[in-house]
Amino acid sequence: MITIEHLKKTFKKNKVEAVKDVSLEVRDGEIFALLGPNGAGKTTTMRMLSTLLTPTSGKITYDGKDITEDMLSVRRRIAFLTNEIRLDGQFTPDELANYYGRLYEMTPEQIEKNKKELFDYFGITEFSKRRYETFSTGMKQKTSLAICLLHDPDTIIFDEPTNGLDILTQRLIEKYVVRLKEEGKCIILSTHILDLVSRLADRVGVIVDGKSVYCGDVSEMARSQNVDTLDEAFVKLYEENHVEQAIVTK
Amino acid sequence: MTNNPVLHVMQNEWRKTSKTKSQLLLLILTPLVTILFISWGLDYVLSQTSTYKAVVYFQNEEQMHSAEKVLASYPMISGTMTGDPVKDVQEGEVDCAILVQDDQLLLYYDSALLSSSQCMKDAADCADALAFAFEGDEIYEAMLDFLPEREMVDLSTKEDVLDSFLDKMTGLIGMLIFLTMASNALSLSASSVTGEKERHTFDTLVLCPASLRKVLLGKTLVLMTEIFMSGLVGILTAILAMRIWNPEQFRTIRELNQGNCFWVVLLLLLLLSATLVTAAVFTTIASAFSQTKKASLFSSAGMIVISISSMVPTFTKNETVKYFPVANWSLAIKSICKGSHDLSAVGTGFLISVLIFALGIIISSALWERTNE
Repeated sequence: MITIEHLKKTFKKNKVEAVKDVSLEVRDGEIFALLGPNGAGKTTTMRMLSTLLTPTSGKITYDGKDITEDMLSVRRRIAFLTNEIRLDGQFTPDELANYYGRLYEMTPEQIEKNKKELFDYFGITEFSKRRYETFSTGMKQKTSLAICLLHDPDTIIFDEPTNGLDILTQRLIEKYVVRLKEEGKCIILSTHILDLVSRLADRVGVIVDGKSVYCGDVSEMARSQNVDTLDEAFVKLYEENHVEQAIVTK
Repeated sequence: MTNNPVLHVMQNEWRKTSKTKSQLLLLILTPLVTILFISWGLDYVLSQTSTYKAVVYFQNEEQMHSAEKVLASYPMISGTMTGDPVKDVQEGEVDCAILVQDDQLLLYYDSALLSSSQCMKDAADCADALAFAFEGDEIYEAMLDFLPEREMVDLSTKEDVLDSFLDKMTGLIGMLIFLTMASNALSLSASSVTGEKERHTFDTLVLCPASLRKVLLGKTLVLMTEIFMSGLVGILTAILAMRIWNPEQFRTIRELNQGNCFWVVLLLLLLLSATLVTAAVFTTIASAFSQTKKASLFSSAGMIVISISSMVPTFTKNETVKYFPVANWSLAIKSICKGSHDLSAVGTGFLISVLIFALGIIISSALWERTNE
């Protein structure tokens, strides 16, 4: 189980307070969707969850342990994928899998087994000897996904993973997310597509202006806001919690 | 299979370099072409400054006949009754022209074109002798009697000649070897360290359960191998160039080091010291620039470091320079060439460079980690 308590992140360089107060709870074996408008702090929260960013204050615990205390062991158990993540272009998926597999301390047998399964599922096998840089956007994303999942993580964090992908690839990834859930994995998903959330997610967290404003069951979200649909509930939560920024001019 | 992340990163980095054939080729070609070309150029310039063409222009046969004796004492200066001295000098056909007229001697030269100071000196001496000659045979003969016989004795030893040669060569060629190493380090570290951020491959690497320090160490060790290769090609090319264009000095150096292969150890130790320092400095700068995600900015900063480090030994006259890696580069090469095998200086330089390297890795990994703050 992942617990986030009063998480805050201020970037020192530009003094931007990206996350002000986020508290969420993600349970084992569920698909948790993180919703929020652009610039709400979803990506920063996801990056802190995946140990890529250090929180300014607050706490993230993974099965009761503070993730900042032993980041390397947390990294063994998680996978993080965004549509921004790239792999070295001059390598083939085969070489990339062998390299990252070894960095994840996997045995050659484990690497081969997981590689075969993932490459077959995402249709990479026939391209596994071709350079990554020669792939289409969709194929690159599928390869990145396969490499991220190679070490068989317990928790998978997806930050808008289907952005810019065609409908077929989107469906393939969605199906895989469901499969991961069936295998008992925990999936944290950040997306703008509310339809995807209602179809896949068990629970949802909403962030507005760097603050968490809702955390609960997807089915409960509309009811809790006294509206009929998830869309309406999201808009209502946004309108109630969004504070217009005053434009300060010198 | 061993599960050492440093080794995995090293294997991967090396594979990356070997896949980029142009980079590998540049690594070898840059020192090879640069040092061969500059060595040839230096030899050409030196040969140009030691030879010259000076001509005495006479107006008639009588003058020319009277000057025969004088010209015989100056074998490098020839006489002629044709041609325009001013035009010949301006067009660079002649370095110095002495025009003999009825009542005066004119010496023409073009300071913008003249490359040999010896030419001016000899032409002035010849003009003086001609002046005496045309005052009348008697006076000239009397002058010759009066002047004591002149003989030039070169007091330089083989070692002195070598010393002077090494002064000219090690400064420039030695520094050039270092500069090619540094410029290769610049492009390689920009790609392997700063480039990780630019290519968006950094996050995937950070997410692995291997400490960033180990990842960076693996990358820097491969960078070191590449810089070392480049330096070794540079040194071998310099040896080859010396054998081709300066066979006499090459022979002297070989004689001075005959029967003792310790110079090889010293040279490799010196190369390793320069490699360690260069790798540490460039990895640190590359890590600092990872935050800005700008490999192009890193190149400018790297060029400043290259320029400063290549100029340090020139301005440092202190004896202790010989113990500092990179700053002792030219001095040590010169001393190895002269057969002086001073292990204390090169050895101390090596130990200091190991410390600089360790410090560089610690600072670099701290800077790299800061990119996530």
